[in-house]
Amino acid sequence: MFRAILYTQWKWSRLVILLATLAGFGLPLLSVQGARGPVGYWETRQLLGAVQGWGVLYPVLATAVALIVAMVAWAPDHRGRHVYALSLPLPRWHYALLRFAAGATLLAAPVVAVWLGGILATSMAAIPTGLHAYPTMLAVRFGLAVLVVYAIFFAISAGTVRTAGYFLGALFLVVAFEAIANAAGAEIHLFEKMMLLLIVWPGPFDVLTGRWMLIDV
Amino acid sequence: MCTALAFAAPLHAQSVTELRQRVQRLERAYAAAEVVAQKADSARRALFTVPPESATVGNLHVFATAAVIENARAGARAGWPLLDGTFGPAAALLDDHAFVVQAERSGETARPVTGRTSHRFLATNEAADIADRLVWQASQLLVARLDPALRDWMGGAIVPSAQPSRLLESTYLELLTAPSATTRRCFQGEVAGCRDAFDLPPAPDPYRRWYGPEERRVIVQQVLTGNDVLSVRDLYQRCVTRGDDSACLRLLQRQPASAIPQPLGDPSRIGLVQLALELGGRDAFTRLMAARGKAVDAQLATAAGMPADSLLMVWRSRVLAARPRPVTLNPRGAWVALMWGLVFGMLAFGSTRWR
Repeated sequence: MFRAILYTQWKWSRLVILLATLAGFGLPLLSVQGARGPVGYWETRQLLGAVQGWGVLYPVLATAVALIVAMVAWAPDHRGRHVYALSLPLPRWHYALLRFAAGATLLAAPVVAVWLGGILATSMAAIPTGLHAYPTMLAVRFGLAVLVVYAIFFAISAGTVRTAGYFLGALFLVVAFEAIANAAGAEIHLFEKMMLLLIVWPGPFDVLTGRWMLIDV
Repeated sequence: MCTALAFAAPLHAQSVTELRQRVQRLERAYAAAEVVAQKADSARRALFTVPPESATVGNLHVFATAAVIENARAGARAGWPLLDGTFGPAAALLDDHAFVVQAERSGETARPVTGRTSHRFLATNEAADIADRLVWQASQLLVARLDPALRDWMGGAIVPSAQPSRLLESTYLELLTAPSATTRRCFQGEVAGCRDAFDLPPAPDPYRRWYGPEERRVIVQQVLTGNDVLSVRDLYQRCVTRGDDSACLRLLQRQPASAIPQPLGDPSRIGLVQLALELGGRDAFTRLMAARGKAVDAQLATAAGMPADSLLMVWRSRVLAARPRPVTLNPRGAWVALMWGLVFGMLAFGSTRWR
């Protein structure tokens, strides 16, 4: 059963997975392109700056690929009004688990690509004394970021339109309440606090924030 | 309309005398208005100026209005140990000074204090902020007693901090990434490299000491940008494009000393002085004040109670020990991310879409 679901999900999302794998492999190589030849110690700061600059794209790639794969995992079921799933001799949780596992398996490809790209890039680069390469840690972090974003959007996609409506409605209520309260002179920053809860540890998006450094001190 | 024009009196421009009279009238009116405004201001000040309450911790005398005095007392309690720990017995010099806290957004002002030199400063009505500003103010007063050459070399005041490790971390990065062979040599353990990186004793054109030809090219690119380049286009091209070091030197000579980046910046220099004070014990600052007129490195050696080279080696080992943690992923973050992945996954499994 898992193989069948994996195969169908592969068919639906292979283009995205392939592009993300290529991008994941290429990103580390691009980030150290300034260090192909011998790097003078006077260029260390520039090298770190370049690695940090390219590093912004790791969380962007992780979010994009995880979001698309999560959406694609449920899209055909929604379109077919879940007839296929209902025809299977499986409870709901088992079917969702199979879908989740299939998507997660496919997402392993870009994560492995980041790891291999990182190893190749750092082996080709001349790293100045005092700096170190962290391809494995970077790949682990990328993998966790992919997992978190994938799980969140998988959960959202698995729900009904009504659930999404409740979620958006609650969000709208918070924003509206804050706008009215601020207009009345009260200094309330609920939305800002909510965002901070999401992106500051132990929030779910904390893994996406901060610097993503393939080479660091 | 023609009739009106025919009988209209000719128009005159104002004469110089008339203009002067008008200006004088305006000046008199302005002076009278200023007198009235000053009276109104002083009446308003008198209305909101209240007798100050005081808080004394050690030799730190803080004054504030009744609404602020509790936080001011707590701020003084937090600030005094830092001042005493860094400046030792020299902190007693603060006994002649009164620090008057003016709380931000407060309509009340504490009346000036008599018998002591008053220093009024703005702070939010919070103990932590008052402590920070109090320590800063007091440090400025004490550091002003040091040798001017030492102060010029430091480029700022010694301000005791509750978190000195942050400074060491940023110094580590400077030592590792500054575009200078001196910091590299210092990093590798060569004391002369540390001396050169700190410009000890200070030399007239320190950039010659700090940067070699390749590095000077990088520094020129950093220092000169935009319109500055246009005004010295030929020299800039010779330096940057053709690698002509004499052109780079001429360009650097034209820059003010403050524009050329030091391999180890002012915070690192101040950190070195703080280390000298720490190693020299409670009397270190008093000795540093007494060493006025000596070479900067000799002053540091006097304060630390050890040769300047030994001080530099201790400083280096402290900096290397403070290597910042690389930005990768800490185990705590990894577990939390994994937990969130499972939580959201479970939410999807528990969904009742079909039922």
